[in-house]
Amino acid sequence: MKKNLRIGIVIAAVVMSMMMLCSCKALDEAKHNHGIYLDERKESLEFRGVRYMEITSDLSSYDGTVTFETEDGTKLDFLQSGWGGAYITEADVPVLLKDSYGDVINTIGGDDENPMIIGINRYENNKYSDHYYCREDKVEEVRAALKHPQIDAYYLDTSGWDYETDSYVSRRELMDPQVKEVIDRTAAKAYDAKTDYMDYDELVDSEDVSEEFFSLKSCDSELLFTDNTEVQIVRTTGKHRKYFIALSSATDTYWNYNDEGALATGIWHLVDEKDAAVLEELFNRYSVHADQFYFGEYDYDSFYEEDYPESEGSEF
Amino acid sequence: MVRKLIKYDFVSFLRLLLPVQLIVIGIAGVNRIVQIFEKGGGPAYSIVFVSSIVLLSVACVVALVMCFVIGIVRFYQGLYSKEGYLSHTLPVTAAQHLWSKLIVTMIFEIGTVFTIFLAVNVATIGEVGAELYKALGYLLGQAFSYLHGHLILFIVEGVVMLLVATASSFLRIYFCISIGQLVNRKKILLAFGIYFGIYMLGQIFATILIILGMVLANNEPWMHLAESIGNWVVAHPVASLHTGLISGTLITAVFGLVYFLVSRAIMTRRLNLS
Repeated sequence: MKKNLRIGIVIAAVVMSMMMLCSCKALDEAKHNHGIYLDERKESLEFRGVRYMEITSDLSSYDGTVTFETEDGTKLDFLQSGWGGAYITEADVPVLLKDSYGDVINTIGGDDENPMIIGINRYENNKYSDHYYCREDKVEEVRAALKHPQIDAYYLDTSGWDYETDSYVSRRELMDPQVKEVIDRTAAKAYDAKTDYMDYDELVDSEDVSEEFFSLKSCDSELLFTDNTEVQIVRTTGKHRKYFIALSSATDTYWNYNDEGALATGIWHLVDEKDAAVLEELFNRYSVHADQFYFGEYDYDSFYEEDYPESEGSEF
Repeated sequence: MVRKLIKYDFVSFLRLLLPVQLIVIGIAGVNRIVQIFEKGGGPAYSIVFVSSIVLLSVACVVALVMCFVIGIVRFYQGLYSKEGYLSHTLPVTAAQHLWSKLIVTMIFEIGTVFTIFLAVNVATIGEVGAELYKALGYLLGQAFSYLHGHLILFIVEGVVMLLVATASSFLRIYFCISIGQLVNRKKILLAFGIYFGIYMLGQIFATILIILGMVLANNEPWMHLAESIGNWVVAHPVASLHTGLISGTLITAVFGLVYFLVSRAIMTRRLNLS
């Protein structure tokens, strides 16, 4: 009896030891999304094994929101990715309490696993304000970029709902340099009444403009910030496929109404045939309705049945 | 003699409840072993894991319910059924009978709660368990830094209140069973009726209090009284919580005492064994 008891205790001890060595997926994920402040003044933090230093004070004319102004007066916005479930807490806060005691973060630049800049919204001194932290090895580079930003690229916002994981996926894709060259060449041309159009309605009336269009935004090559200049590209579905682009800035978007209540206009430039191939490739790479991205399988018919039970299904 | 009574009851409880508690621990162990295969993932793992969690939850509930039911059955069988003929010939007073039954039932209730606590520890053994304890320690630390010594008092008062409430609930059942055995037929049915009657009386009394409160709310002296009580509670949250816990415990203890005294009186003067 005693021998059996001893054998039972040994087996139980071995099994318990095995169990103790096994980790839990949910806990690993929680640890992966948990960073800590390294000092009391919260001027540095560690996230996913990487050290970040605060650069908020490097942003001149910073008003505590996502917009900041450079030395030459350009207003820039950080390209923040949506909240990915990560928190930064004091060092002594356990990982299971990160949601309750932590500060939510947004990531800027880099990739999802290793962001270049982390934006944290904190409640301090009776108000909420954003604080930005840069990877320790990129601080000087980013400081230089903030002083003299090089807005020399375009990106396409491909954020959308992922039906497979039932979550909103925030994504931006940097366009090839060729796309920028095409846009710059086309936009630099003077208005030509024979080929260009002064407003979108005129363009639609004159050409068969399809629903396919892209909105690109200007940015730096590291996808850190934008000056909110937008480029709209439309494709016609007429006999001869054509591409038109229109440029707008943050203060003068082509679809906005001006103070007099009239639709503000921008010039719709016809893209040269030799440049059209670059844009053709862009349209082919992304799906129709490029302004709205969905990932995974979605039952459009059931969507309409739920919200509009009397309809006959989706129009897709 | 009381010690022997307790020992006898203890052994009979153990014979019935120990297998159940071992099963609960065993299911917790199975749940933890299932978690070893988490890395493989897939829907099959999710189904098995969720099923094991559900099984563990059900086992915990069953253990608690069984302890409760066995406590009642042991009381009834031991004192008011055929076994009662032997029990009441022992050189033990009615009060001692009641105490022995109550003490053993309480021990096993606490034991079942401890078993469930142990089962949770087995199911989370490893990193998860360590993190859970870290989180608990941190929360307690936060509470202590805010409440200081009052936290320990709150814990003590809370535990005492739980024990008194549990004892009182069992004494209420003993009271109902004791009243029920006064009749010759349908004793258990009457006991149920008495139990629900007490519950209904409590609800009616509480409703009357609420209505009275609403009616008196417009009456100035009562309004001032309510306002000053409210202001005191807001100004002294810690003291008001102590007052609430202690007064709640005392009121529950008073009810428990009433049930105990009536049960003892019935057992002494109006015993009606079948």
